[in-house]
Amino acid sequence: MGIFNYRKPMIMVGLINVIGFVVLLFLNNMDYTVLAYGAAVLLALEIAYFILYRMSMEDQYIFLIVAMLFSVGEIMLFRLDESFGKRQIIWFAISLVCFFAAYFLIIKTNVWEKIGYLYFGAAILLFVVTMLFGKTISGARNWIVIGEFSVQTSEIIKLLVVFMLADRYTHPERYRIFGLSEGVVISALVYTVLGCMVIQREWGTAVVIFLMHISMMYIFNEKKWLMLVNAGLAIVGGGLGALFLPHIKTRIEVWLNPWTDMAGKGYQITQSLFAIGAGGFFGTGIGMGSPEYIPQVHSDFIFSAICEEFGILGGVAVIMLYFILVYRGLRISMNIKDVFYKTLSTGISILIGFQSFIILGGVTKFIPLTGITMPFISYGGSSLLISFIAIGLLEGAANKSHVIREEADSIEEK
Amino acid sequence: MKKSEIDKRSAEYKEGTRFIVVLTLIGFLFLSIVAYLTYLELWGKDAFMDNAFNQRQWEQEEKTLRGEILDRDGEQLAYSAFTEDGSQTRIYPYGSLYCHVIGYNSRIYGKSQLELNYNKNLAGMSGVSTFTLDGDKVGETLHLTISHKLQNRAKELLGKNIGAVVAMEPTTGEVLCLYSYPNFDPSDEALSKNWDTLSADENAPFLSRANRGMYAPGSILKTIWASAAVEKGLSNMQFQDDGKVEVDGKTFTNAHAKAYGEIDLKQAYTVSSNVAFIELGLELGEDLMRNYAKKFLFNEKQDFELYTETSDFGYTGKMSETEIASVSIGQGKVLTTPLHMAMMCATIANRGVMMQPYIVEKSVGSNGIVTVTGRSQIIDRVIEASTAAVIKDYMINVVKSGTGTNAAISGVTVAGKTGTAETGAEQSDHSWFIGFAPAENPTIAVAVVLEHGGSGGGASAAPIAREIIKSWLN
Repeated sequence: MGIFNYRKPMIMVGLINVIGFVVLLFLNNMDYTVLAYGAAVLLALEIAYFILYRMSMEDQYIFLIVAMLFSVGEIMLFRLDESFGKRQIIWFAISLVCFFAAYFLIIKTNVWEKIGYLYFGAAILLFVVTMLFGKTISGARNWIVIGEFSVQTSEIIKLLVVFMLADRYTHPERYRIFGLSEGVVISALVYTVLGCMVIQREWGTAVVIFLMHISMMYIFNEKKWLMLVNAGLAIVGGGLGALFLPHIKTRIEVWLNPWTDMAGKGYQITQSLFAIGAGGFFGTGIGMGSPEYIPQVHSDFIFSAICEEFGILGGVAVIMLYFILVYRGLRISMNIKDVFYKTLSTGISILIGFQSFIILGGVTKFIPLTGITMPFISYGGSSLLISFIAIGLLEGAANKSHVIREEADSIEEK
Repeated sequence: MKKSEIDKRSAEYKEGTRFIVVLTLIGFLFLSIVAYLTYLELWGKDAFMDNAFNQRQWEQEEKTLRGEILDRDGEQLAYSAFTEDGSQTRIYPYGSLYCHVIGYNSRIYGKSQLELNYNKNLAGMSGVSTFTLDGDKVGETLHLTISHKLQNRAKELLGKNIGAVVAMEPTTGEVLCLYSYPNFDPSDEALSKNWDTLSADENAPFLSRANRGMYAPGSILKTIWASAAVEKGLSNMQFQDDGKVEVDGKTFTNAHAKAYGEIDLKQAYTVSSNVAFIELGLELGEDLMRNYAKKFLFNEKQDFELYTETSDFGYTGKMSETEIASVSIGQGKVLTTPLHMAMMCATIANRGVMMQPYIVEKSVGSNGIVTVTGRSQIIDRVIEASTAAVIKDYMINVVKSGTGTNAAISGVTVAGKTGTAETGAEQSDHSWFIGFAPAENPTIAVAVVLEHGGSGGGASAAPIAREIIKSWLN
């Protein structure tokens, strides 16, 4: 049967969903609607894969990895709380549409490298709007509520920064203003956005943006002194923050020793460690553990739930999936000739890499915890949507560059 | 190839290398989490998985009926029962009486004391399977060395006075009584109701004064200096007691400024002459004093089933003469716990050999298998038997004709020593009494402390010790 055996990895994604949802069926007292949701997920994944197979996207593995990550997350969400699982499926459907939309927008239009400072302007505008009309959810004022939907604006801002950086490396002349070099100007812009993130208490996003910025500087051969100044600023800024900002101070204290205040500030991270420890190497099995003791387990802390029920080995599998996702992303980026699309896809790949590292490290107490979502796995519409759009852009950039290259080749041949 | 072409290729090559460097870095970061998780799984998690906040343990424990805790005569001090909804409640029939010994076992507030330290046994998780005949799983039964009779008597005697009573068998180290006031009702219901008040209470009802309260020992510490004097051949020293003595510009006086004239060591100990002991202390010198304090376990970590504060000699560097004088009479920075003072007293009773105090006699599974056995253990020979005999004689004299006559029991030879610890400030002093009986063949050693007892150890603390001893000997 054609649709099931054109690529073997897709069968594995399908198998995970079949196994996962059948187990969920037993956990939910043989409520067969569970299977219907499972079938919906599987069907959506198959259709999406079929479309991109037909369109011969540049790298099908990227979608396969993402499909696997989403499947693991979706099964876990369904197990934690059915209502989260159901809502996430709706977001998944929207995300898939946006994935293709982003893909086609990149390929079919050429405005992206023309609007320059608009990215920065949009980022700042979003920040201001959030500060003015935003809603405070769990200590951070970073949500905009429109009707029934709430949007986490920092997710969008993160993506705008990637575009901003891509624009800087493509059109450095635009950033040579006030007699300053483009490297200094873009750093100033990045730090402005970073400052906004700090004001919103989005420490995680701020760190991710900084790491992306400095990695891009390194890859695309920025002047050494400027990189050193940036690194220095980060160390000084981080040090001052750790000393004087009570929120950062608390986070570091809790990271160093969560055991003294287990009923209070250390509650979440210690509960997370208990969950990870309870799972052992092979996990308790779906539904057999107690990850629900961890507050926010469905969003930031979902990895702990995965570790408890799928074991450390399950957790390691997820980590490896993120790594090969970054690997595929950077491999594509290396081969893109067009500077804008190259820097764009590089930025996206690095973004996903650092974001997943920071939250994986945070919930396992490897590094201090900063609340950001796990791309493709955590519950949350904004995060899922932006992650899928980012992947759509990545694929689009790869294909477009391919198209540009072929056109150039054909012109040369003439 | 043109030069520009070569430059371009070389630039691309370098860029490719930098891509790989960044990829390697991210790979390294991911790998370090994998390594960390592996470490956590293999070694790291042992340190925290049995933490009271890990609610998974409760899931296990809910299925097993928690074991009961009995006193040395089989009296039930704590037990559990299943409630209608299938969960269990922990019942403490004597309310606050054992809160500092047994502690509490609460889903909200965690576990403390023996409920915490012997959790594995009580919860039936020590590895020995414990099933009843009808198939229910039950935890092990903990048998304590505590005598409910004495513990209850201590409560009656102490009443609303802040302080502690400790009693132990000098020859075995079995702790018979470990009572502190103020205390609290450890039941789950009472804890939820009173937690905030209890936490804020400045009298610290959570503090087990018997083993964690740090007090200046006052004159009972003279027992150690008298022992040192005897061992160093100073027992024949004569003192001229004019009721006060000036050391380096500071004046020290006897209680009520009484002058005893020319006295020997035995008389000095009997009447608790500060003047004489300051002279003795200066004669012994700081090295010898520190040495003997250490022998008696000052600044040595206590190895007891309940967390116990370490007594502190108080001085590490070179001591001034006034500091030596202060320590000679148990003042200054020297601090100790009632449990430790009971051990010191028991050492004299046990011919100079200090026994390790213990409170858990054994832990027995429902199938009869004993998993934990408390055993008499010698900590060390602290002083010679002959020295202990001399000090015992002094202590008998204290009760017969000295400051401790209130501890006397007709028909029984009681040995003891009173103490009054100045608390500085405006508050009245702490009262101490240590003692053991019967002096010929001691079966009980007692330490009593009364915070701000005012009237001195002889008047307020000695009668409590007397009643405890009487109750035990009956």
